[in-house]
Amino acid sequence: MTLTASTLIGFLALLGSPQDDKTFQPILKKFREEYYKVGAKDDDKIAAVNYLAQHRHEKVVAELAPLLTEASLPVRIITARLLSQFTSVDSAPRELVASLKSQANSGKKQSSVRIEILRSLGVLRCKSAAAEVSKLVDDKEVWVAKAAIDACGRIRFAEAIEPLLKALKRIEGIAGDAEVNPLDDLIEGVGRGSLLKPDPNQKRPSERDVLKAPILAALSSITKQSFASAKDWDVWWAKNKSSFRMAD
Amino acid sequence: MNTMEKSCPTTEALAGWLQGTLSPQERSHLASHLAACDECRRAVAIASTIDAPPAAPVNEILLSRVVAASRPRRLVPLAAAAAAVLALGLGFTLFHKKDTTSPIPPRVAERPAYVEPGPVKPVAKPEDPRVVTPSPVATLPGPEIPKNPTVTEPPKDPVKPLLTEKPPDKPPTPVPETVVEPKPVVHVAPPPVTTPADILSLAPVFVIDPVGDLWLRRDQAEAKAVSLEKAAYKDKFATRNGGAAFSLEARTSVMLEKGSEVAFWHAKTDDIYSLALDHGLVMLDTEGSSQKWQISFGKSKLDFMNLNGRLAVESRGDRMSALLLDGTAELKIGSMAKKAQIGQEVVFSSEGTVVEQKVETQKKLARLDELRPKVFTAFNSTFDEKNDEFQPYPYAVVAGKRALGPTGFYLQADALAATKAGEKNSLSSEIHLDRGFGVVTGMVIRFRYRTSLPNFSVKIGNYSADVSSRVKVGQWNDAEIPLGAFSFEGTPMLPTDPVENVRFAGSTDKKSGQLDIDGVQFLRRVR
Repeated sequence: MTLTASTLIGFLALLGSPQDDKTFQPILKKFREEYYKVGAKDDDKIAAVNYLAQHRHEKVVAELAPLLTEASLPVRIITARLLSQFTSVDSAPRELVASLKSQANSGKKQSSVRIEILRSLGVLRCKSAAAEVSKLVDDKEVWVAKAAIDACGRIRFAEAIEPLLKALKRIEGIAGDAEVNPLDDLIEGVGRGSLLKPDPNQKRPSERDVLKAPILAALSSITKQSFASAKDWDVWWAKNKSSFRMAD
Repeated sequence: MNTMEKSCPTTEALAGWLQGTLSPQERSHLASHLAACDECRRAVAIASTIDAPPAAPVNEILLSRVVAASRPRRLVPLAAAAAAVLALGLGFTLFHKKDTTSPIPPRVAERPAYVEPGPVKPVAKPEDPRVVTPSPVATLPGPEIPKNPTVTEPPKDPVKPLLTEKPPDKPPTPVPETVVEPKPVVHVAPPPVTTPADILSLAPVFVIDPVGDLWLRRDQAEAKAVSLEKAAYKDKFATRNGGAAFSLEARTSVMLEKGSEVAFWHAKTDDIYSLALDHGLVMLDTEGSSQKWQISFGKSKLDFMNLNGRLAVESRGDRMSALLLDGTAELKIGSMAKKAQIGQEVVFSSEGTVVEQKVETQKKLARLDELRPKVFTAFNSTFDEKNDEFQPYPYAVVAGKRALGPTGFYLQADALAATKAGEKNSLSSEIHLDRGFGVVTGMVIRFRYRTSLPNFSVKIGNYSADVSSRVKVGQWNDAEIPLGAFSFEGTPMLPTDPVENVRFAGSTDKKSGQLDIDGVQFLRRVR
């Protein structure tokens, strides 16, 4: 019996890496040839990443992970988006969280990368990302904050409640009146031209317009409660904080 | 003119036109009508291919263009003038041939691909149910572009050169029923081996945006290829003094090297495009989509399944080579199937012998880039398209309606009243592309708009861009927006993102507003 079990374990261990190597070697080789070929443009690189991401495996995640911090912004965004499909690969959310924390994605110009990573973490319902996601609920970049709020609602973790309530209180005050430009200078390298110059007479949505509904939706998703204002949420939270348990 | 007029002549009158039995006055009146009425001109053209006496002097390619002339054009007056002369010329030719006793030439009857499937119908066409004239509730009355005056005196035979158009170095007209190849030293592949059943399933292909020295040869007729040219399996595309390029049905970019001759056709049942190269070099670029291609050479066939990339096919006398320049494909030779390798040239003879060898691809890729069209149209809609005709860019209007203006149809937004207090009334229109495509770097959307709103948004999927109107109410203006300027909550639209719909929307405090859109195009400009 013991011999049979150990034989099986040994066989499975043997089955692991060499077989994977054989399977993934040509795929990785082809990806590298396409991605790193001389003169490859973003379109070529994105096509190569799309090709590789069809194969959901740890080895693929390991190959794609460096791109999240080292590639051009469009490639980083596409890579983050594609990793959201790796639901059964444990290393995918880990790599996404690492790249979210990375210095390489911390600047204003990299906001769109952070947004896409937050969306992917939400799709993956990555509980281990809770701390990082909740930190960004009150980010100064409105669209980053919105992506973090949406991710909180999808992942559903109790640690997000207080940052969400804090953000709700803030935008219900004067701070929520600040206008949000739909483009908001987040997109690098796009010449808007005269056609897209914002009309000075046009009223832009405020932070409150953009963030209030997502915050209420996220709080409702986590707590299964429904209130319309920060005051009501505060009252409920004060009563239930100590005994709160996440409902399935 | 887009729809058949109520004053269209009777079937008998049109038959009289073809038979030459009309009085000079009736004939003159009918000629004027034909110049302006697409439906009647089309009916006459189709009828003439069935009933007419020998059409040997008539250029087959031009004849098909007359049939296709019912397709609406932006330049209505020019098209009307050209069509008038063509219709007159055709009618004149047929009229004078009427008395000949020659039998109907079989080649006309044998080529159903050139005959439009629609019935010969000189009776009034029912109104398009989608056509709605501008509603005063939805739109503010704006000054319409004045309708161009009817052409009373057509220019002096403006299309006559077309009828005699020949390439500068074209060999002398061959004796009928004798096939004379222009370059006999070069091996000419025999026509593809097809059974009658195969032929019936072969659809002609459409040429879009041809550039360079591209000619279309049909039997003994030859003409420079034009946009929306229709070519069947018997037709040959040829280049003479320089290279040429075109888009095959807005799906594949085709580049022909100088001195090439090639035929294309499409098996609709399996959605396979076929290519038979007589001589020269032809290169294909599937522009990011996966396609099935079959390369024919004598009895040999080579299948590239799921080709997504660039392929070069070159004739070398009694052999032909196919080379995947980049991208991916599955190669099928007879019963053998395998993954095509970039730079692995497959050389095959007409007898079926296949040899593979490694070759350099860079020079061919560089040449492909030189020849390829600098602008690639991924989508184009004028809203004048007709349901019964080939549409290279099929689409459906899912919000708003097609409305008729003096220069053709345009897309008029639906007006939606606010449902809650404090909300604004909104205007929106949307088209859904039947054949979506992926964004590539440098792609732009172009359209014309006419609006009473100070600004409106254009939305593609989740991504949107705002447009600030810079023109007076009622005036048409052109807009061009790079797709990179479209964003969704802080993230830009990126290469490979799908384009499957376009929505135009705006809001207004007023009771009514106007948001009209025309000429929507997606273009990729090569840097």
